[in-house]
Amino acid sequence: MKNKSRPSWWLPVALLVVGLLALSLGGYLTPLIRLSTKPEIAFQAWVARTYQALRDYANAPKDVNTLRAENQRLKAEIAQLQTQIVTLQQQLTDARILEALLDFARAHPNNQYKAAQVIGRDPSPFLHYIIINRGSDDGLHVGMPVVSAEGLVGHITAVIPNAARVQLITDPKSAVDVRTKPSNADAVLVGSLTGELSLEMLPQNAQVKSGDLVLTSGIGGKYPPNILAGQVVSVRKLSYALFQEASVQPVVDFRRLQIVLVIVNFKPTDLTPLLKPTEQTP
Amino acid sequence: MIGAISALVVLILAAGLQSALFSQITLLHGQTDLMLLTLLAWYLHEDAPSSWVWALLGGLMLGWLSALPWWLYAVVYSAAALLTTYLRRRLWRTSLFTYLLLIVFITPVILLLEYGYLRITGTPIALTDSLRLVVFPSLLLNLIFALPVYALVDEWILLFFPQEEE
Repeated sequence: MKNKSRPSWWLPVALLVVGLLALSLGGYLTPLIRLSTKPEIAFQAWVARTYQALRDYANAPKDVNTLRAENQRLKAEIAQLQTQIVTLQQQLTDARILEALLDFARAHPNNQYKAAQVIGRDPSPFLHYIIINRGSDDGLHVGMPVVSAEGLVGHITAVIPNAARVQLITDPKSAVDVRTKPSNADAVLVGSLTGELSLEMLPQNAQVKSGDLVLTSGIGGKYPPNILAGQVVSVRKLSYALFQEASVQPVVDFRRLQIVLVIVNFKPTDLTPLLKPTEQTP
Repeated sequence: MIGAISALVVLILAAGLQSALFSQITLLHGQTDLMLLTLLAWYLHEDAPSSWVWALLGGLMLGWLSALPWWLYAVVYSAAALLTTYLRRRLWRTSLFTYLLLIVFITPVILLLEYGYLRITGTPIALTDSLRLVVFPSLLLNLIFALPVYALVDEWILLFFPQEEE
């Protein structure tokens, strides 16, 4: 019997295959594989792109009118979506403002509030007033204090059934009785033409310094106490003057006021009868 | 009737836009007086009805919006309207130049009257600050917005009071 022997080439081939597998598993063949497959992949991509383009061309509507109509429809859809985006952005802004106002209301639980939107400003450039969209129909009265999420805004000076006019604390004629914290000094916060706030009637011995908070004191009965109005920026103390003066940075950005809160359960005290000169008896 | 309604619409638009929009477009602390620009353009136009009632109404509308006394704007706008009507009758032909000249003359007068009233009633405002921060910037803003307002009012009047062919 003839002894069948295996072919002599199988061992080198097997070794080569095993070697290649080992190299491949070890990652040593990756550059080689990348190099060899690059033209193949490029060709395949070109074929696929061409096929897709041909398929799109074959399936696309041939009629120009149809294309135009579809274009119009898409444009209308885009316009509608853009309008929706603007509306949603506005709603988001409103929600953030309302959230901040809610935080403020929670921080001052004793007060009852009525939210109002700022709908206009005084046409005179000398005055700092806003017009809000709530009036006597909503229970608003002259003298009610107005706040925002940041702090004190002003008080109502005129009311009609569905709107009210609010004098801002930055108005040149505005004067608010305040107290500084932690220095505990009483003073009067006054506005100006430029909208800057300053403290007047500040006693010479008061230890007010930059960074002190300015809150309503409740004196005068015009505003409830402890509403934040601003922060002291600088103090001017002259030895020959009766009072110190201080510049105050308001906490409210009055140019960007959109929604405010009216404190409806606060009854301002009318001090006018006390300010009238007393009648002299003969 | 349509003319009167159109004039009323113009006044309502001017008052609303001035309070809600133009009061927020400021230069230093000056603002555009949209109502004044509108009224001057209206009264200078040869085809527009020149009744002083519109100026009075415009003034009352702004007086209603403002914390200044209601009669102040009514008086100053009526005076401005009378002056403009007088000029229109005296001049052979009014032009944009006349319009700009009237703005340059009337804007400071109105603002200084407002300033005077506030000073008399005890508002502490310095005259130099008023001139520097309010009067001159307002004048500049009025001149900037004068051309578009003039063009818009002109178009509006041509739409509602078409000129008859001779």
